[in-house]
Amino acid sequence: MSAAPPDARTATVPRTVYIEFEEHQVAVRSDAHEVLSGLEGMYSAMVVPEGTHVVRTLVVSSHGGAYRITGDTAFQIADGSLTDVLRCLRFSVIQAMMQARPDLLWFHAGAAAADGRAILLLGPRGRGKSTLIVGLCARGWTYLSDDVIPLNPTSSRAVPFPLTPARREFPGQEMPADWLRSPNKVDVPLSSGGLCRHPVPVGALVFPRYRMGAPARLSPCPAAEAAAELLQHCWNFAEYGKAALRRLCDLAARVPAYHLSFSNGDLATELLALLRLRVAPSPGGKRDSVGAR
Amino acid sequence: MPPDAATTRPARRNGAEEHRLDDEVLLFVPSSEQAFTLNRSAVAIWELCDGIRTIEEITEELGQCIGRSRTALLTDVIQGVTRLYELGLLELR
Repeated sequence: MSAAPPDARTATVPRTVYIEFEEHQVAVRSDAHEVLSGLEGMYSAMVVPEGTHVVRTLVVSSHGGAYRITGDTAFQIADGSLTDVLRCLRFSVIQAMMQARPDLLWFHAGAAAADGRAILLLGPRGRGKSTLIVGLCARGWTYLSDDVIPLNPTSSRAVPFPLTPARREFPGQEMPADWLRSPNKVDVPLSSGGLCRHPVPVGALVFPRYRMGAPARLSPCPAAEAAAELLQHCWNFAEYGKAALRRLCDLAARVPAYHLSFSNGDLATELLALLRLRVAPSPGGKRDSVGAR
Repeated sequence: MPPDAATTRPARRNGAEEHRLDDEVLLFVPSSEQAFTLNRSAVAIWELCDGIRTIEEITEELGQCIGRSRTALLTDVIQGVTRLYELGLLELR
């Protein structure tokens, strides 16, 4: 086989990947195979073969190992690495879906469901949401998301947004802020049977916090504090308007809420799994502390 | 310097949205987009801050409700009022 001459250019046929949420699609077109492959990995459960209601089109071009995104996105990138461009695409898709569905309240949260009810884990990055959600799914819960949860405020149902869960490597260490920003997460494969396909009523709110050496402990969170936490982790609260606050307060008043501190993800997941029994029959029931070492 | 309990009349600032949840309250201030939660003790003080009662009178009323003397409560009420003022939720008249 002869080598290509030095001035030869290889042409790759551009391809479009469609990512769907609630019958809305974002189209990402690129001739960079590695970008589309990374995107498909990130959104594996949300990729569809074609777009019937495309709400946003993004184009990624590649020039000698650097990437550029064009299209209607707030996350512009002109000369980025593959990691940069994938991060931008991740947020651009979420942003496009949020704009397509402003009737939903969008939370920085993970969720898993059992017995027809979902537990929402809310908090900023580094709190252990992904680790706990993946742990619950390994125990038979169905997966809604590990990072983004849209909530129908009228029905208080969490809508699946099944980004491929990504678990942080080397859990169990203290996590400095700059480390949290680095790309140190690994995708956890999803089985199609483990996906939650339909919106599910919220059965409990949990605010996790990883603390070095802390025993796993669930303690009740007062409703007013839960409402404030919901507000804090809601991305489109301001756009949604005044009604959002009332809806969030209603939810916090009806659904039990807990703080979860932990250092061992397995023990913490066991505690959360116990909530399955508590939240299924009667939401808003008595809230007890649960602990494990 | 703590407010003068005999003459200061704390008043809730306008504009905060109040949502009662169990025996606590969520306050949301739209202008600053800040939310605050008040526990039961703070709610009791908050509800009496009408710009008419002085801190001493608020203390007196609270004491009657919970069966404690004004002397025992006054420091706590001053601290509570001061904290709510520092958060921008009260004005002191």
